[in-house]
Formats: sequence, structure tokens, C-alpha cells
Amino acid sequence: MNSITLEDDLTVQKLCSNCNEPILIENRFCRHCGSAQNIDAGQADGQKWNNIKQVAIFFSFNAVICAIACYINYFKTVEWSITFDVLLAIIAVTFFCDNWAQNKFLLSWSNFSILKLLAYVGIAVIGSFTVSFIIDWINQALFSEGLSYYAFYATRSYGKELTIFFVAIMPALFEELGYRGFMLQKLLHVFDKNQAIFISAFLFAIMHMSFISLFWLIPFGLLLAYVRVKENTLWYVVCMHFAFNFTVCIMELYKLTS
Amino acid sequence: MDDLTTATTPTSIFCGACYKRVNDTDAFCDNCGYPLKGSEKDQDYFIAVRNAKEIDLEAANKAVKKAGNILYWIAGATFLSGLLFYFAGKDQAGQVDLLIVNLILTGLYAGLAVWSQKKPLAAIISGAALYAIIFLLNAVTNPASIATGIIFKIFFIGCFIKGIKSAIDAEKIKKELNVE
Repeated sequence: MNSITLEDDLTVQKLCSNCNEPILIENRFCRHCGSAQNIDAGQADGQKWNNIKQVAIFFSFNAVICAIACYINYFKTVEWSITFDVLLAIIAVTFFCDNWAQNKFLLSWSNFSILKLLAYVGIAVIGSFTVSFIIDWINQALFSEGLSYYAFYATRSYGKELTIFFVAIMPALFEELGYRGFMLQKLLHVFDKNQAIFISAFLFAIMHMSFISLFWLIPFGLLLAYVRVKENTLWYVVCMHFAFNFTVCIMELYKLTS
Repeated sequence: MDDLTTATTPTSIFCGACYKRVNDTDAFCDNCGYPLKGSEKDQDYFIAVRNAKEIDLEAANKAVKKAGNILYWIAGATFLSGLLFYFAGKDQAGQVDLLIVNLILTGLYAGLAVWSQKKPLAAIISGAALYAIIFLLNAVTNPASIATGIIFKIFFIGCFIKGIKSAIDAEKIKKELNVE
């Protein structure tokens, strides 16, 4: 029956947000006036549905464009592909800038360290090699042909440059802006860190509309989201994503020229 | 601050709303805000509001559970239709691929359904996103399929949205009642 007497111990006391009488830190309600001590949390809850809606709208725009681009033959030309890429980029930038105040810190790189950069890029390159070998093995085992990014652009003049731009540079910049930038930040307002990381990675993975690739898209998405949260900047993950895709490009271009 | 040497030591009583031990010198329960020293009208009103919130919480939890169960149902339906298409379809090279895809999907939905027991909001959102992608793929490759089972589709989407909103509401009410 040890009732809690008010000791002069400031580490366990705080003031009621309503009547300013001293109460204990862990008290959810004030003993003197009865008001709840977690008003801020309540207001944050009202925002959660709005945040989820915004993520859903971003996801839907991306999903419709990707579905059309991947699965309707009429749109499988270089011109349409570029159009869709640009559209997706504009969408990512729009959503990112719409929440500029929340997101702008991600564009700074205050903790730049060449060592970290090399380490992260190294991981991405190794991962890319690993995934390419596994995919090649799967393609040989199950299918007669594989997907080639370069072949898509090869007939154009500057085919190699186009490949590198649209397969390595654009996705690195704009997918990171959209998924690890806008989407992950919104999700962090609703969920705890691990759930937000998983959801952003899962949505990123299924957006690529390729079931077989899920086995590496999900871990890759998890890795990028984790690094973004850890380093509080988009630039490490932009470099990682670029390194990953660029390795794929180089391997294709090298195979075709040799 | 009270002079603790002369005041009587506070006796411990139970709060009439949440049954936590409180001091009889307190005006309100520090666990739930019940007016220990309030008039009977105030106390009855507080209990009535609290009961209403508890009922709302029940309803919200039910909606969340339902959305989680929908994921199980979708997993089962994907599995069955995967088997159906495989065995009933003509012998083509694509048959095995379709079966593998459906099996992967079943696994994903089932995994999400299990996860919804622990983290319902995250699992439902992921499940809804996956469902939306599958719907889009089918719609784009075979526009006629949009209409098939449209009633089910609308029902599922409705349950998902209700589940997400209810999960948010449930967390809000839990904070208000200071339970769990």
C-alpha cells in the first residue's frame, strides 16, 4: 500500500499540461484536474489517415503507369517508355516537393563520408553481381530467353547512353525521391521505423510488376530504406541505387560487345 | 505542497472506472481521469462516456480483424484458382508459370494475413496494395476481367479501407482510455 508521495525528485515529476500542478511523468491523467496528458498524440492520430491517403494516391498513380507500360504492347516503344519515365519522375518530384518542409532535410548530406559512400556503393555493386548471376541461372533453368535492357534501346543512335540514362540514372534519382523520400517519410509519421521500412520496401518491390524479381527487390528495398533512415539523407541511397543499376547496364553492354 | 507530517497518510482506494489503486486524496484518477471527488452525475457521465468508447473500440477491433481475415480468404482463393487454371487449362508452356505466380501470391497473402495478427495496420495496407497491383495487371492484360467478381472486389476493397480506418481509430481510442 505504498502510495506515491510527491518527493522533490524532478526526474519523476512533470507539470500537468492543463492546470500546471505537479504530477508524475508516467501519469496519463492529472490527479488534480483530470485532463489527459497525451493531447498531442491524439492530434497526430487525425493526420494518420491523411498520410495513408497520400501514400495511396502516389502508389496508385505509379501502379497505373507501370501496369500500362509493362503490359500493353502498344506502349512498348522507346518513345512511350521515355514518356512514362518522365511522367513518373514528375510525379515523384511533385509529391516530394508538396511536402517540402518535411522532406527537404533529406536533400542535405551533412554526414558525408567518402568511406561510408564507398562501403555502401560496394555493397550495392556486390549485390548487383549476385542478383545478376542468380537471374541468369533462373533464366537458363526456366526460360529460353532473358530480359535485356540494352536491346530495348540498341537500335537507336546513342543506344548505350540512352540505356545508362534511363536504366541507371533516372530510376536512381526519382525512385529514391519518391519511395525513400516522399513515401517513407509519410509512413514514418504513421508507423514505427521497422514497419515503415517494410511497407515502403514492399510497395517499391511490387511496383516493378515482376514476381520472380520479388526475391531481390524486397531485400534491396529494405536495404535502401534502412540506409536512408540510418543516415537521414537521400544521397547515399541514390548512389547505391545508381551503382546497382549501373552494374547491370555495364554487364549487359560488356556481354554484347565481347 | 501539502505538509506531509500533519496530514493523514492517504488511503488507497480503487478507481470506480478502471479499478486501479489511487489515493483518496486525489481529485481524479491518474490512470483514466475518473472524477473521484466529482458529483454522482459527473461520475455517471464519465462512466457512460467510457463505456461508449469501449464499445467503439470493440467495433473497431472487429473491423480490423475482418480485414485481416479477408487476407486469408484471398490467399485461399488465389491458391484454389491457381490449381484450377493449372489443371483445367490446355497444355501450354505458360501454365507452370501461372501456377508458380499464383503460389507465390498465395504465400504473400498468407504471410500478410499472419502478420496482421501482430501489426494489423501495416499488414492490411501491404495486402491492399498487393491486391491493387494484381487487379491492375489483370485489368490491363485482360480488360474483360475487370467485371468478373466485381461484387467481391468492391467488398474486399471496402473491408480493407474500413480495416485501415478502424485500425487508426482503435489506436486513438486505446490512447484515450489508456488501456493495453
